Amino acid sequence: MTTDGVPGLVALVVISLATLAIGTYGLRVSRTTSDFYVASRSVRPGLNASAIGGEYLSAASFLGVAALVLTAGAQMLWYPIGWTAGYLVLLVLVAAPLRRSGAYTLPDFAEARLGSRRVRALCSVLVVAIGWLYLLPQFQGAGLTLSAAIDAPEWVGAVVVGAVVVVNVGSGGMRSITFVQAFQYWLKLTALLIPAVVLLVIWSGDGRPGTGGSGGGWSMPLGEGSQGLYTTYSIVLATFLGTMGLPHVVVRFYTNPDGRAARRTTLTVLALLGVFYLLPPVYAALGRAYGADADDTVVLELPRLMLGGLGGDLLTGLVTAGAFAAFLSTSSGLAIAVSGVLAQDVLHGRYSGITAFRVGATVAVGVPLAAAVLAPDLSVARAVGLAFAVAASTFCPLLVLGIWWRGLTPAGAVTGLLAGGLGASAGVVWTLYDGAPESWRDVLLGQPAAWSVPLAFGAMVGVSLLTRASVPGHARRFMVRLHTPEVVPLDRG
Amino acid sequence: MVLALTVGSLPLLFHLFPDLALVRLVGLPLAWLLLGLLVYPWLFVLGLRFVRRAERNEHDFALLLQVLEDEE
Repeated sequence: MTTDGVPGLVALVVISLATLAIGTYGLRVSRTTSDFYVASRSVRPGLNASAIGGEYLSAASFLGVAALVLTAGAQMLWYPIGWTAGYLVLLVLVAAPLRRSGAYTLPDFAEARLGSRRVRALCSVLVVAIGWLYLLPQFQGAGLTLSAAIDAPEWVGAVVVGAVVVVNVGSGGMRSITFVQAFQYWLKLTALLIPAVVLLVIWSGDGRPGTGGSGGGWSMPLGEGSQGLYTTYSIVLATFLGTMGLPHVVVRFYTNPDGRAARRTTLTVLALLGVFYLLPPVYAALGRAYGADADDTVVLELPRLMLGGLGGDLLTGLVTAGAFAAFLSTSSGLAIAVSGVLAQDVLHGRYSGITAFRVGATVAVGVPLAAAVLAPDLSVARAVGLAFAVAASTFCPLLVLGIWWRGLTPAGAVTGLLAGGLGASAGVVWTLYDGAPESWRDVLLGQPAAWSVPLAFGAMVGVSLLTRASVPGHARRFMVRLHTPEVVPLDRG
Repeated sequence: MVLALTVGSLPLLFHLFPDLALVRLVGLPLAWLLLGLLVYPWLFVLGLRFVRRAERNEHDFALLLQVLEDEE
């Protein structure tokens, strides 16, 4: 290792220690099982929104997007837009009712709404599948970042992130993770904002070099031809609707005190994400102007490319710290969601409450970590995109129809989940085997959301209408509860 | 009740999508400005309007129930 690695190494150690320290502080206030799963439902909107921002802004969302925009241009701006607008859809359609449902996790919600163990089991499988699909690129990205920053082998970063997450999640659960993630949002924003401002000043001083040929499609907000149009719409659909189906996002809504707070939290999240996502395109444009390599580490390499000496080292340390905070916070959130489901649905009989949660956390992190170390060649942004597509094709229809349509039946829900889940998974498997999209078949399977989401909705509605007799008896009561404000006295069973 | 909330929020949702689609069509020359910058405050404004409306609806609803109770 050369001295080039020093800033990155310092950043890594500081972030890991700070994360563990804040987690330990949270541990002192985490006592009950409810603390572990939902922080006893007492997190205020400001703190909760920071925590959601901290958890949601994965490293893929700035390392990956900056690299994608650098390579492919303005059409990739749709990713951050979709990731933000997803919260607007979430706000309008599910935020408050979901909080009022009184469930801990997505499978809990499904069971409470439809009264069916079968739907619950299927949802549990899906939560774990989506969680793992999303954790995999986090670990791989951590490996890439660390190997770029300090020249370590790629498995080191993945293992460090995995270890910190297991310790933190297993020791303090949701209560302590809330503090950690809120801290990490502000850390990430600082870590990207300061270097961006400095680099922009340098860019001004350098006589504002252009991005080299505004033609060539780099400024086009769409890919070429009808395939480009299809791809954009599919990305838009997957990100707008997939956000509400991500297990680590949904689980955060149960930590709000009431439905009104859930809405205010979401609104604050919109603001926080909007500020943050202004930055990746800046890095991409600067990278283009200064001829940086077009891969996932452009954000990390740019400071040294533009500014030598101590200044470059400091800024490199700062962006590395931000990236690492992102890997830690997103992985923690996913680990919480997956552990919660594993503990409740798989390990429940064998271990008591908090022990089950800890064993769940170990399994939740261990499996994708092993996969990331053993199969280290998958584009970070691509795997995240597919996780969104699967979420949009499964939990989005379940939540939207479950909350807004009384006629949903267990059989309809199962059919829709299977149709959407299998359809989108076919895309995942196909993409893993086959890289570059050429024919229409590749494009359709590579971005499945545009057909798999309507398929899932159609299947749910169609089969529910066919099995109309099996609408759960308590459906109407449950719906009233979902949509009635907390100030109205109501039997909330 | 459910109906009132559905009707209250659906127009906003439908409002949302044409607007976003419109931004995309008009935005060709201004793609970067619109997609990279202006879209975020716009999303926030839409969210703010929805939250205000929803809270007002719920407040009115609670008030209505109160009045009905008092009359009984």
